[in-house]
Amino acid sequence: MSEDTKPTLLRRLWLRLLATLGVAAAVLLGWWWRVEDARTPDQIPPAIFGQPVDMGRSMATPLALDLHRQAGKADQLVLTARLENITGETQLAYFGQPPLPPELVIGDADIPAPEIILKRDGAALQQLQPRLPEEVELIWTLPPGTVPAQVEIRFSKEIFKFRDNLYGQSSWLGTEPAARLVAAPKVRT
Amino acid sequence: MISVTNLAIIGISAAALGAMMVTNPDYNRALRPFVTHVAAGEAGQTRLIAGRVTGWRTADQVAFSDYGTETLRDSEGVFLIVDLSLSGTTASTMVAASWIGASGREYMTTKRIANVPGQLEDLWLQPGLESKTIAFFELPPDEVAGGALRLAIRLDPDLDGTLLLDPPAEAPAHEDVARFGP
Repeated sequence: MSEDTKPTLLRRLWLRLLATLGVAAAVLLGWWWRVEDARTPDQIPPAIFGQPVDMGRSMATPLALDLHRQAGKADQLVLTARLENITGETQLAYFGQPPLPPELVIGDADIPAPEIILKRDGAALQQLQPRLPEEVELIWTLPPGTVPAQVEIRFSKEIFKFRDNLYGQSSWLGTEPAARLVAAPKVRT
Repeated sequence: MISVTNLAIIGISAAALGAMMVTNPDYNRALRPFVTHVAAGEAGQTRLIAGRVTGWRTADQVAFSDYGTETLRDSEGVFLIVDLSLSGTTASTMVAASWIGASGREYMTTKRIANVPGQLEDLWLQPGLESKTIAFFELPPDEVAGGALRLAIRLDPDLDGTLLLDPPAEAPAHEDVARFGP
């Protein structure tokens, strides 16, 4: 003869109460997250000429935006900026790894990544040394037919994680939008 | 009585686990090179590399011939030029040098100067063969004094021997233009 294992009323009620509380907590949390999202709209802050933008490993200060137009050559959009390495070591990946340099947006045009040269002597910028800010030119060669009356340049920030989840080592992991510069370039011929 | 014993076991286990978590070295501290500090003018040796600093100087500009093209490079700071005498110990190896500045920041050899004969980036160290080589750094002037040169194997230097070589005791000479030619 088997023993009666039916749970007592108190135990049954207790379990149901716990389950109800769990569901209610999940619903409330989901609702609160939606309220939080609505309260903080994800707007990218504007970048201003002369004001530094934190890009993670480096700070970029946009200084000027020019459109170089020459007969027989493709138009070039040139952003002059000051770059400073804010880490404690020489950076080859001053725009992150994989590199995420400022992105030029003109309508739906597919524009390749900019060429980055030192303003001082026109050499390609290969490294950025700590405490040595460099003035550079970011040069986008525009596809034919692009009319950049007003352009948008998006800056991204690489995120530093002191302890990653795999090894617990310090890493640069992921990026987030840092700023967007909307400006009309000065035409130079 | 049994429950008290169980509670004590759980408590001691939790304390032991907590102590281990607090004292366990993290990845950044556990996986580092083994640094051998070498005083000024002395020679140092580690698993794969041996060497010493033979001279140092600073320059505002560096002129060199890049495959026949005369090139002049200047800097926002100064160029630090360190002369080294290096050799391998047991196997052929390539090395990387960096300057640990007075502030503790690490400056890798500059890529703005390339293809200078005897430059460290192009050097293969051979066991028993002494090679004279030059390392170029680009850094703010106040990082020079009080700094030291770190020499490590080129690939995967963690958990391997690294030399930290002090520069010569006398202050470095300064040139407006340092010239290097073939």
